Amino acid sequence: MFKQQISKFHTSAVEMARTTSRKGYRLSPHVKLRKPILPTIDNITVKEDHPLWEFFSNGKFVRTGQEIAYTGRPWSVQELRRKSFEDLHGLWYVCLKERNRLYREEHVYEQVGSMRSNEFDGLSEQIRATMWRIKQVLTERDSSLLRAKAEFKADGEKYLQEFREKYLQEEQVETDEWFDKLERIQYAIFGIPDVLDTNIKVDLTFLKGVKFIGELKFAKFAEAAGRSDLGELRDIAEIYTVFEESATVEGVQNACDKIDEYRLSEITIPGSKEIQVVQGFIDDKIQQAQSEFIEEAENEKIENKSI
Amino acid sequence: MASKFRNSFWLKENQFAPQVFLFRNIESGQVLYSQLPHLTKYQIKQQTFRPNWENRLPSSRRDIWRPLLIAQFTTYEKAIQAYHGLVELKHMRMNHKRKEANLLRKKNEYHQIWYSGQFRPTYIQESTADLSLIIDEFKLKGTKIYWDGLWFKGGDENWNSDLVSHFEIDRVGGRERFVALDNIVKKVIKLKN
Amino acid sequence: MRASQILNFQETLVTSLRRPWKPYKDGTLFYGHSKTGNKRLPMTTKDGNKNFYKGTRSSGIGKFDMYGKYTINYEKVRTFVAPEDMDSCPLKPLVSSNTPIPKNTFTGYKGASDGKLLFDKVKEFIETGKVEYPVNEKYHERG
Repeated sequence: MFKQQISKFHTSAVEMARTTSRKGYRLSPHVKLRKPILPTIDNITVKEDHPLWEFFSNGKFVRTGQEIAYTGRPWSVQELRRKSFEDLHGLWYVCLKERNRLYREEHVYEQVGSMRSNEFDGLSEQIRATMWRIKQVLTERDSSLLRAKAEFKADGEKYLQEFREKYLQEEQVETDEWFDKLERIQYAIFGIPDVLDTNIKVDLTFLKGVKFIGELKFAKFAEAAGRSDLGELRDIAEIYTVFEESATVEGVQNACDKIDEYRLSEITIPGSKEIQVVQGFIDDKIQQAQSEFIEEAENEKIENKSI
Repeated sequence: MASKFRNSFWLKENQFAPQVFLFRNIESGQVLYSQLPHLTKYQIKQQTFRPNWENRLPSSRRDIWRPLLIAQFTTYEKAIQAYHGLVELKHMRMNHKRKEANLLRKKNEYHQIWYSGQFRPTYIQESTADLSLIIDEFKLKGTKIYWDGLWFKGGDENWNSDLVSHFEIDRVGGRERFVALDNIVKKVIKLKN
Repeated sequence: MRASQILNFQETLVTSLRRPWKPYKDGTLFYGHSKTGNKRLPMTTKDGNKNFYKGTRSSGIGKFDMYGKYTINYEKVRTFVAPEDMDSCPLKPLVSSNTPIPKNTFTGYKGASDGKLLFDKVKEFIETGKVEYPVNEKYHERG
C-alpha cells in the first residue's frame, strides 16, 4: 500500500512538472544548498516576572564572593520572640528563597571545582540557624499555649471571680477603659471577637463567655436600671440579650425591655439547646446586617441613576 | 488522515489550512514533513532515503515527535509546492547532493556528523535552511511561520523579511503539543470563513 | 537487676502498640528480624519481610483502584502555604551583627514556654492592652 503511494508522490510531482506550463513549479536540480541555520539564544526573551527568576539574585547568573560577604548574624531567638506569626511566616519563606539561590550558586561553583562554593555553603548554614530558631520560637509558643490552658483550668475560675468582683466594686465603669477591658477579656479568655463575622462557630467556651459577660453586666446595672424585679436571668436567650447590649445602664434597660416581651411567651431554653440558639442569634444578626448593607448599596445605585 | 499524499482539493474539502508541519525527533534530531498536524508511518517511509547509522529509520513513536514549526502559506497550491520542495531537497541531501550537504555539516574529530548520544542537531538546522531556501526560490509571499520556540529560527539574516513573518506557538500545555497544532488549524479556518 | 526486667521494659501498652510484634501462623514476624537482642536498630528499606514497607514519605498520596488506575487523595498531598504577599515582607534572612541581642529574663517562671507566664501575659493584656517593645529601659523582656 505504501509503495504505491510513494511512487505516486514521485510520479505526480514529475508529471506536474511536465504537464504544467507554469515555470519554476519544481526545484531546479542545480539549486545550491544552504548552510544549516544555527539556533540562537538571541531570539529568546525571558519575561521580567518569570517565576524562575526567584532562583537568581537580581537576575545575576552567580554572585561573586564579595557580594555575599555579609557582616551579618542570624536572627536570635530573643529577637524572633518579639515577632508576630505573620512576620515569622514571611521570614521563613524569605530565608528559604535565599537558601535556594545559594544552593544554585554553590552548585555552579562546585561544578567548576572552585573553593568559593564553601563561602556560599557557609552563608546558607547561617540562614539555616535563623530558620531553626523560627521553629524554636513557634514550638515555644505552642507548648506555652498548651500549658497556659492547663493553668487556666486550675486557676481560671479564680481569676474570673476576681475580675467580676473588681468590676462590681468599681463605682464608675461606664468609661472607655472598662469597655476596652471587657472587650479584651472576652477576646483573650473566651475567643469572642469584637466584631462577629460569618465563620464564627459557637462552642462551649463561647457560651461560657456569653454567660460571664451577660451576667456581669446584669449584676452591675440591674439595680441602677430599676429592674431588680426581674430576679435572676432565667435562660441563655435572656443572657444573650444583655450580652448584646452595651455595658451601660441604658443598654441593660433596653435588654430588660426585650426580656419582658420574651417572658410573656413563657418559653425556657434547655441547656442542651443553648449552643444552637446562640448560633441562631448570631446568624440572624449577620444576615440582617448583610441585607441592610445590600439595601443601602442598591439605594445608592438608584440615587446615582436618578442623578 | 495523513497516511498518503493529499492534494489541494482534498485539503480544502476536509477543512485543513494551507500549511506544512515540521516535526522533530527529540531523540535523534531528525525532521519529518507533514501536510496535516499528525505523523504516520507514511511520512517516515516517504522521507527516509538510504538510512544509515548516522541517519536511522526513525520510529513512529508518538511521544518522541515534537512540532518544530508550522509554515502557513497563502494558497493551497503554494502549500503543496512547498511540501514537494521540502521533500525533494531532503532527497537531494541524501542522494545526488550528498557530498555537498556533508561539507556544510559540523563534524566531530573523526569527521563524522557531530553528535551527542543519539542526537544530531544538524538535521533540524538543515530543514530550517531548506524551508528558507524554498520560500526564497518560489517567492512564497505572505508566509507565516509558527515556531515551537524561536530558538530554532536562528539569525534574521537567514530569512527574507519581505516574504516571511515569524510567530511563536503559545507555550501552554507543554505535554501534548498536538493540541496546540490543532488549535492553530482551527484558528486559520475560522479566519478564512 | 534481673534480665527479665530489661526484657519486660518494652512491654508497656504504648510500646506494644508502636511495634506490633505479631507473629504469623508460620512463625515469621509481622516485620523485623527479631524482637530481642542488640539488632533492634532502625530498619532500612531493605530490612524486614514481605510486609515491611518503609518508603521515603514521598509517595502514598493515593490509591490504586481495581482497574489499576491511581487516584490521588488530595488530603495527603503536601502543600506549602506561602504568605499571600511575599513582597511586603521587609525582613531579611540575617541581621546586622552590630545590633545588640535583647535579653530575656524569666525570674519566677520556669522558662519561655511556661504556662503561667503566658497566663500572666494574658492578664496583663486584659488590664493594659497591647504592649509594644520596649516600654522603657528598666523593662525586663520575658519573651
